[in-house]
Amino acid sequence: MTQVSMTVNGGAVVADVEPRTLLADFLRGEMQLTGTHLGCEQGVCGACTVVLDGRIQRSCITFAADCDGADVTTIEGFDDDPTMEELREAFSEHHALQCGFCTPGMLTTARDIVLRLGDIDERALREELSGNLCRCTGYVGIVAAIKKVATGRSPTSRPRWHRSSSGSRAQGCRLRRLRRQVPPSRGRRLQPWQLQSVDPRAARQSRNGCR
Amino acid sequence: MSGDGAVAEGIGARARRKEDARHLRGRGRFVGDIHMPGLREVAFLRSPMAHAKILSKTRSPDHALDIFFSEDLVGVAPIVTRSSIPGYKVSQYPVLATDKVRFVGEPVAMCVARNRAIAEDLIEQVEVGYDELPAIASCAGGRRENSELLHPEWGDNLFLETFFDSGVDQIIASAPISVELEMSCARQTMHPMEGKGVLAWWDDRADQLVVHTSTQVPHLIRAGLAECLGIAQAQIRVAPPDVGGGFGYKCLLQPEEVAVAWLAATFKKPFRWTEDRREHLVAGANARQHEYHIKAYADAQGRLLALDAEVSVDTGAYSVWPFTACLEAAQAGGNLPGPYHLAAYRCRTYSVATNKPPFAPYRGVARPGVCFAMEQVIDAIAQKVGREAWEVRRDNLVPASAMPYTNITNKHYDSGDYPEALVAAKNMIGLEAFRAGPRRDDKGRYLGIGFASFTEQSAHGTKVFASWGLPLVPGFDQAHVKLTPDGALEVAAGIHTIGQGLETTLAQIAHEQTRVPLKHIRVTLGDTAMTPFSTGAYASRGIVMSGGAVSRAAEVVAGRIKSIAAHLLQVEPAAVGFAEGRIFAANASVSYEDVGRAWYLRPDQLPETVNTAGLEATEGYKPDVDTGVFSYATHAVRLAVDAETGLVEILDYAIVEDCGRMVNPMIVEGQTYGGAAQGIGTALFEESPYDDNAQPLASTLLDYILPGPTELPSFRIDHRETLSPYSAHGIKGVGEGGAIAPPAAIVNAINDALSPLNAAVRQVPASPRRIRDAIRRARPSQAVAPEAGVAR
Ligand code: FES
Ligand code: FES
Repeated sequence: MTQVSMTVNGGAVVADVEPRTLLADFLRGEMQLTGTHLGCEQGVCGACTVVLDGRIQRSCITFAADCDGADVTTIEGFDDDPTMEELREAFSEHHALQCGFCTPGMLTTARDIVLRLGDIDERALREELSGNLCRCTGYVGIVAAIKKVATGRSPTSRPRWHRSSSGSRAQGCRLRRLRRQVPPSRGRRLQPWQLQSVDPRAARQSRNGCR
Repeated sequence: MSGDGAVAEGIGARARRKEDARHLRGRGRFVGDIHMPGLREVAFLRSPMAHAKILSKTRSPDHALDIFFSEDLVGVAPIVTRSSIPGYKVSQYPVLATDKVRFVGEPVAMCVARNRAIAEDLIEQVEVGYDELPAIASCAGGRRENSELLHPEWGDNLFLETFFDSGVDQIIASAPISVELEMSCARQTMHPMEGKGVLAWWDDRADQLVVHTSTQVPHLIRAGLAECLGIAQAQIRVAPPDVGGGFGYKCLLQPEEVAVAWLAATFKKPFRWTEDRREHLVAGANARQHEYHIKAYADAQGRLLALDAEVSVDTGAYSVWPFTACLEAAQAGGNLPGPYHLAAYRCRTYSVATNKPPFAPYRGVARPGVCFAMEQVIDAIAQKVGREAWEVRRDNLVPASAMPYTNITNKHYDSGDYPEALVAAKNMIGLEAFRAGPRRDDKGRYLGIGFASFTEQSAHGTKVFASWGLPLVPGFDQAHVKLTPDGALEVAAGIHTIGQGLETTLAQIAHEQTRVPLKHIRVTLGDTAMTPFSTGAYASRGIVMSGGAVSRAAEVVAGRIKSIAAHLLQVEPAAVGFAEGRIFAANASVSYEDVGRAWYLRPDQLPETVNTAGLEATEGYKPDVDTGVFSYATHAVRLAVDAETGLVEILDYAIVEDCGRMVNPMIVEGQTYGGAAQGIGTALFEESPYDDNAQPLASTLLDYILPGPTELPSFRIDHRETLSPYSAHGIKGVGEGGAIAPPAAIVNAINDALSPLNAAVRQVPASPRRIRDAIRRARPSQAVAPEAGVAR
């Protein structure tokens, strides 16, 4: 057991956790914050997305023991957040949820996109969202809702700690799998646009390596 | 807008969903979210082999109470699904494997601990000795002479073989043209984002087993559990919490459900199993895998004359309960003629037992495969006769003037204008302008447009299910409606909400009848202790069946509200009407609360002749003609294919659909988009491959690609609203339709794009490799692609 102290949704928490306990299990189990959902536990679907020290993070592949001193916000912690309120309203208006299972993760990522990047075009928005999977909606309502909240908004001056969400990384990995079926360049290298037809980020990521 | 708010909240309104509020704050409650004192978590040891005899099972003696084998499950019967179809072979699906395993992922032992991680650790304390047998990894393998038998007592590996022939030989002999195609769809996994989960406990006070399971069919699960556990149905309460998507995966009784219920019934404590994604990918790969060999005959204009088809379904090791192992093939054979007029049809189907997870009815059931096959046939005929595919399609579609129309497989198409939807989709996608433009874009990619038209038989009725030989045949769905003392409305129905928005749409229907404001209508679903019977949420039946039942019950209650209100207003019942959330007679009015109060608290105010059944009613419903009501649509897609890499980009996607009266157009669109997204997954990305030993090759979401936001287009949609003459309010179902057409439309578009290369893809997913292979195959002879199917 390791002792960790962290702030969860504004409250101080001290707990003993096993080294193998994942942040998601800690939040859902010990803290009974079950709004953080587990869709895959493989770091791919984004249902477990929480905000950790200001950045969005997959809690299913984060060890609780690594979060000593961290500030964690889950969906339950956004009840009074004004941006989240706008997103909730827009999600409902645009039918951006059906079963609701992906919704907490989607909202958490959406809030990050809107705050970090402000008004971006649909293509960029879809890319930023690409680390969150929804099986119900086809993303139509989700994209429309985020667009609505993002429209006319400028990026906040928060520190630019990363270019892409952790989520997009996983999506990059997924698509790299698809791309593996692409033949090794026969005398000529793949052109960037050939990759762009699926996901431009994947090209970068396959260069940088997924892990 | 009328003053009573009917348009804003009743049938036809884009009402916001009641279920949103809890989910938007992370307050939804799924099986995995339930906290209960003393709850123990369950993990299953699953077979690593596709086909093997079990020689031994051992656990260390100190684990007799936390590790369980089938021998420990005393009194538990295997899952057995009988069918009334002659020749159907019954499988015994053990809850935990007994002497043999038949697919990778089959549960062999059950481990219990205070959390899932420790339960998984326990799995390592179990030793199972296997003697591996040859595995059946394909339909062909299963049908080969002398192949290994999954169920030796059967004598072969066929659940069922069916044959239908309306008499085609003469027509075939004289048909001017013919095409022959071989096509196949990969095995898939359904992937609701919430996996399956079940929590069971014993309620001592009620002396009842309480089961919180992630299911589409709570009332059926009660029946199934009773059968397997030997407990009376009255002693079982199935109370499903929020369900994170179903898509068919959750309309079955699963062995894990029985096992966990047995634990609770035996030890009188709470137990839970939550499926993880890897379990889902391995043990839940259970859908879509069809093979088609079709010969089609037509006249010189491309008008269909006859269809001669053979369909094989890679059915997996056991039959699921209650939908049987032959539902898929039965639907495939019955739906292949699609929305077309066809005079002669022959079809043979094989439901082959293989060493894979048991086949289950995934959104659309056989129809995505059937549509994929049939729509390629239409395009191949068009190519053969040198006409545009949409024209040949139009000429073959059942025209509006023929409605209602009974087709060759006895499907009764109730209403609609199929050709009009096709033409509208063609115009939306801009076919003429496209044909006038270049065949390749500035990046050198090949461009194409493809169409797919289909019907979606929804709310199939008693006769239809009976003809499929199901052991449980759905009939009437029921609903209960009640006005509370303070004037709100409570609606209860046994169907369950799985994301399709029934808490909202059923309330809209109740509002339509009673005009009680939507915000004062509360809908309770699924819990067998609190709702009247429904067979459940599947086969696009919810809004038609439960909607019809709610409509009826609400109508009855509305009549009773009116008669009490009339008495309070001292007028005849006929003189009162609902408006502005009150009950009016001329200018005088009373509130719903006044009526509620009179019945419950001030009976002295009631008329002498008041109906003593009070302000509540339970009504059952099924449509007058219960052969199903048929929604239909045409999907049109424009895309680009990179011949070098095989990558496909969808450039535009247009849908023209008609599901009768739309209760909530926003939800109709959501269902359609969501279905189409899954269909695009089928078309381009999703595949659960198996090797020759029937070992699954996809066990993470990195191997199995679910479509994400970057892979999907911004769909465009247009509605038609042809009412069904048979159902309440003219409503038809819409849950599955979106998923049916995309594989067909996309493959047709890819093949349109590749037509300058004479290449054609006949398999989904149309992965980069398959596309490149098709191009490579076409290259040697630039004339006719060898497997392209149109050669004859
Ligand atoms: S549950 Fe964490 S990414 Fe899927
Ligand atoms: S709403 Fe069901 S997974 Fe997104």
